[in-house]
Amino acid sequence: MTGQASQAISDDVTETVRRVLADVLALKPATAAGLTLDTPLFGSLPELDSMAVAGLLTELEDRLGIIIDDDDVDGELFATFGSLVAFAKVKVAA
Amino acid sequence: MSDPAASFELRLIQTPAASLPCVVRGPLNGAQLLILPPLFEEMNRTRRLLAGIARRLAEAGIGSWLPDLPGTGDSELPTTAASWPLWHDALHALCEEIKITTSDNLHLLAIRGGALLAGAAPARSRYLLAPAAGDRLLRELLRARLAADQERREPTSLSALEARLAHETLELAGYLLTPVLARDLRAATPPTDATPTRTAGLSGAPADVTFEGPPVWRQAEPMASDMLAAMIADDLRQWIASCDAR
Repeated sequence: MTGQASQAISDDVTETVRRVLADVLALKPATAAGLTLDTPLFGSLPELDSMAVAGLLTELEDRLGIIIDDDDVDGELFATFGSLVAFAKVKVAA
Repeated sequence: MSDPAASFELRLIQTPAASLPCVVRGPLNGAQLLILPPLFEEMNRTRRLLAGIARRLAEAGIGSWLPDLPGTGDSELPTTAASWPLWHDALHALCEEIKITTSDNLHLLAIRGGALLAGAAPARSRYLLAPAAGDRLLRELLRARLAADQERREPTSLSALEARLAHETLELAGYLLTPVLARDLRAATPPTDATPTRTAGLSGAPADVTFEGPPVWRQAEPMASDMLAAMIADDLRQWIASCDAR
């Protein structure tokens, strides 16, 4: 039971991150739905400029109820969809 | 015969504080709506959504006024002249002007950071769309600068930027913010006085009503927002009618 519950929470985080990316970057629904953990973000999505980075961080904080320390933020965080999801999961669990 | 619902005018409103470029739409003989747009870049991204809302309200007999605050948009003043007291004085004078020249039935729509200025605009009711606290908006502007500095390989830190902003004007996300404006923005919160207020949000944020739609103020190339504009205008029209019936 515990395992299932934590699995469900994890999936919620993944879907919230997907939704935040879609909303902030104005991604087409098919692009958002097609994001896998390996999908590269930074350098591959032209929409991901400095203002979008700021919007993503703030929107993730609001929707996941987390606080992101800006010292944790670097290019690696946005390397792939998976790296962003993993980061969000750590923050949610903290 | 001109159709008041299709009326569109760019007026330059003279106030003691500054002259305010103002988009005036719709009939002037019914309820009027002052629109306080988001601050900084979010304003540009929200322009089309606001036009869509104002057009629909005009068709429902509600006139609207969308000003460019001193130091923003088409204002004659430079960005560095923008200040909280100047914005307050200009909005107060604009509200007086609207009340004198129309039916004296003024309501307010404020979006995001615009909600932080709502207290300076005396109106019968307020409708706050996705209101944002000033410290959150400032943090986001600083984050954008931080990300831009990183891209230029000039890494800095949020605390270093904040320290500089305490005594020096910084360019944040395309806008020059003076230390004084930054300080006042950081301290600003949406008003909590007795004016009847309805809050509206997107995707799950706590609010009186929630709409499904894109947060266009976050989007460099905003998604189509016709449906969202229609839903907001409809809710706003009913809200204004319910306030007028009190």
